[in-house]
Amino acid sequence: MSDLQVEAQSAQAAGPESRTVAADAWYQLRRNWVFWVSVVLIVGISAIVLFPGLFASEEATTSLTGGCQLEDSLEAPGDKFLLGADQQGCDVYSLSIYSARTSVSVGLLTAIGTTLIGSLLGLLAGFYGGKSDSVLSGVTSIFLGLPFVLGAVVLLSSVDLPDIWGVVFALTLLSWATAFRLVRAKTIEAKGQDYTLAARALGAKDLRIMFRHILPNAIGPSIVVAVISLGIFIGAEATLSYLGLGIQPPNTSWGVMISEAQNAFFTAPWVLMVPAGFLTVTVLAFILLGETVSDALDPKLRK
Amino acid sequence: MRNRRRSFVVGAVGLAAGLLLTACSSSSDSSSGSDDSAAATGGSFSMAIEKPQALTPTNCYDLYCAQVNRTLFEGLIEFQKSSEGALEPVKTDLAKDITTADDGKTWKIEINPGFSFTNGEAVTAQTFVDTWNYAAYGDNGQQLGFVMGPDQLNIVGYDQVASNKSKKMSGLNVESDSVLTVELEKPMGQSLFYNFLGGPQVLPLPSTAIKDPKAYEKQPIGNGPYKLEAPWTNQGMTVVRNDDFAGEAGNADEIEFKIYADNNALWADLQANELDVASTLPQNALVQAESVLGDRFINDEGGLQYAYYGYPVNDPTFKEKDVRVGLAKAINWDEINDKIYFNTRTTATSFAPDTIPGGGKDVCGDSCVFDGAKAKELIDGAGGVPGGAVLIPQLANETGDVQKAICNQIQTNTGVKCTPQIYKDFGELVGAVTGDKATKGLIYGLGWIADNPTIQNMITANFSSTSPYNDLGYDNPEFDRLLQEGNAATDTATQIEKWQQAEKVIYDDFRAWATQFRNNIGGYSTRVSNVDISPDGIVDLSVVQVNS
Repeated sequence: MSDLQVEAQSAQAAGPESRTVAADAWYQLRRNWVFWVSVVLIVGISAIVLFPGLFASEEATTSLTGGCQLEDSLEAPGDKFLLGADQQGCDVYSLSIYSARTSVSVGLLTAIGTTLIGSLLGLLAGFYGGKSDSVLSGVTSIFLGLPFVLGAVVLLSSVDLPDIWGVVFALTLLSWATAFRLVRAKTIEAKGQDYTLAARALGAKDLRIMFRHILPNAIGPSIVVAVISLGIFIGAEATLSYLGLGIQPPNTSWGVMISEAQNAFFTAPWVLMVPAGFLTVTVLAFILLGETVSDALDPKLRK
Repeated sequence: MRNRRRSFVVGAVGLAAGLLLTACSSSSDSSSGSDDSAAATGGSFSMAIEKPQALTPTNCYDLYCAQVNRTLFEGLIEFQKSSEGALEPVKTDLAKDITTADDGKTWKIEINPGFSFTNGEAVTAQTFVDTWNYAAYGDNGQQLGFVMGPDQLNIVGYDQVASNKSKKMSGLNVESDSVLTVELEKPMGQSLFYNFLGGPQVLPLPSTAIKDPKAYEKQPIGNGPYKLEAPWTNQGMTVVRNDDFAGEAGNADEIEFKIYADNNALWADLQANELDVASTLPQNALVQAESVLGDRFINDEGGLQYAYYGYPVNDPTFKEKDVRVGLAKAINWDEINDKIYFNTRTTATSFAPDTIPGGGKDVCGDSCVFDGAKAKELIDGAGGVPGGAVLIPQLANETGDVQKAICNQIQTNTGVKCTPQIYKDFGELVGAVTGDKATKGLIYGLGWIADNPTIQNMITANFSSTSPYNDLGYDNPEFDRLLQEGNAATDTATQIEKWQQAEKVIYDDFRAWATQFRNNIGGYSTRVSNVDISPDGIVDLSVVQVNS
């Protein structure tokens, strides 16, 4: 970026009327084309997740309604199947559309779960300090030290957990520590701020101080991390499903589809490429959104 | 033994453990080496195996050990294809005569002189008696000693030895250096007796194997066309030609067995010509194997393994025969074979493939013929499937392609809801049909790998009312009677006829039906020729030629 632009940007940032952090961030975001691309993609993906019937026919994904005829096995993309058929003769496009819900749900539930658990514990540890902080921080260090994929594989293969919730549980358990650290640090910082001291001086109880004064100021970064990791969790679900430990058939997700496509990769690459494409675009959209929001929220990172 | 002797071959291309016979595929009818004037003997080549559980014959119950032992040992009986293509037990160079004078109760085995172990010890009648007593003795802990006992060879005095009360079976006696007699508890027909002598578990052991089994296991000493010159390791083993072998010598000077833990690595090496012979291929290689290997791709029908589906007797879901037949008719096995297995299986119409004497007949008839409309008609006519849904078992390590395809066809053709049900392992699946809380609506599926090429072996374990492996709970006195009559018959033709009738009883009840036979799949490099996989899955390596 040229110096001129940098100057222009900082001139805007220090505009005449003073803005809140959020308003400032929004001002930054709406000028960023990457942000709009990711928003459009996420809106599209959300539409697919919420209303798959608008995009594809569910009938083509099950043999109960005439789909999945073995005679169509590995049929190439064309008139009959827009993006080809898989080994079972199911329409790859329709199946990918109907798989989106599982994949995105796992990502969303895990992101919410990690943010809730991590933020709550971080808030408590940061606010009260002392022994509970030492213990929780110690536990966090252990969880941060666990290799993510290995941990999930061990967990899922040793504990018999049901399908979607099992994956969500495993991913949440291994990922809450990041949110914990962020919120804890922010809480400690906010605890010493004047507004907190003022609230305390006015006789506010611990709970009120934590949730009314500290949390709103401390949660921002962990929400940004949640958006970025939402994409990463969707990818992690695909990894685990690919290894046969995640979503179990007859439920289907992009990871399951990719896993099942391996056999015929050389003769029928579309069976693998289509769900892999959906997966990549979705993960990318969430990561880009998270990063642009993160940049916008943190003036220090602004170039 | 339970897990060893049968495998879940319904979906898995998985590797079969548990083949108890070693065969000689004699005249190889596929790749002819007539036109290549390359050196017929000499050279070295490699073959892929999985790690055998053990090499000592009395502990040898996997395919890979059987494969290696085919080069290290010479037994009494080997299997050859008859003119009709069925595998039949015939005497080896070592066996001079195996006869009975009293209709199968007592057998006289005469061996040819001149055979010795590679440590110089001669193979005599005493060798076999010592080996078999050693195998049967309980405290010796040899896994295949049971072959001497009930339901198998059933040698007189086995119980005493198995329970450590005696070291010698009274039914085994040495008449001279070259003659021994074997007395059995019950008379046995020649074909069955020969079949039992064809397995690796009855191969002769040198006295050193009995004195120090642990040292022997590291580097077994045999009496066959090849010998092991160094202890075997987790990477494999190399055998070299035994120039003192009195029988027919092997072609190559040296054979290296490479142990692969991963079939994908095997497939990569085979394509790169870095591996010469493979008797298995990974699932994802099947779709391209023929185009990559061309003539060097082996896909032989008649493998001695079947997959079957059956309806647990205790499950009221399958009370109506029309429901049972209807569900079977809703599945198009030819199409599944084509699209899922890429034609590496053969649709079955009986429990025995044509490589088994008396096998390959259409015993099932119309019930096994795919007809979607008729399937629906039968099921609807019987008032539908109680509960409206069925389950197809799938093991956790399977890809599930087959189960999906089966379910899709059942759903398409009959409207009955069908879902694959995943089981952690084999034990859990067996528990799902045999336990008190048997799963309702489960179409039980398993496979069977032959111990020897007889119809009897293909149907006894899964369907005899006294068999511990009869998970379906199938119990038909008529079937048991015919099976026993067949076993007792001393005339081979009568015997086969009785067994065929017993097989027909299963199909008439339609509690179970064989769905597919597994073809023998493999391939070889451009460096070798005359490679053929025998129906039992073993490659006769002695006849393989290394191209110059």
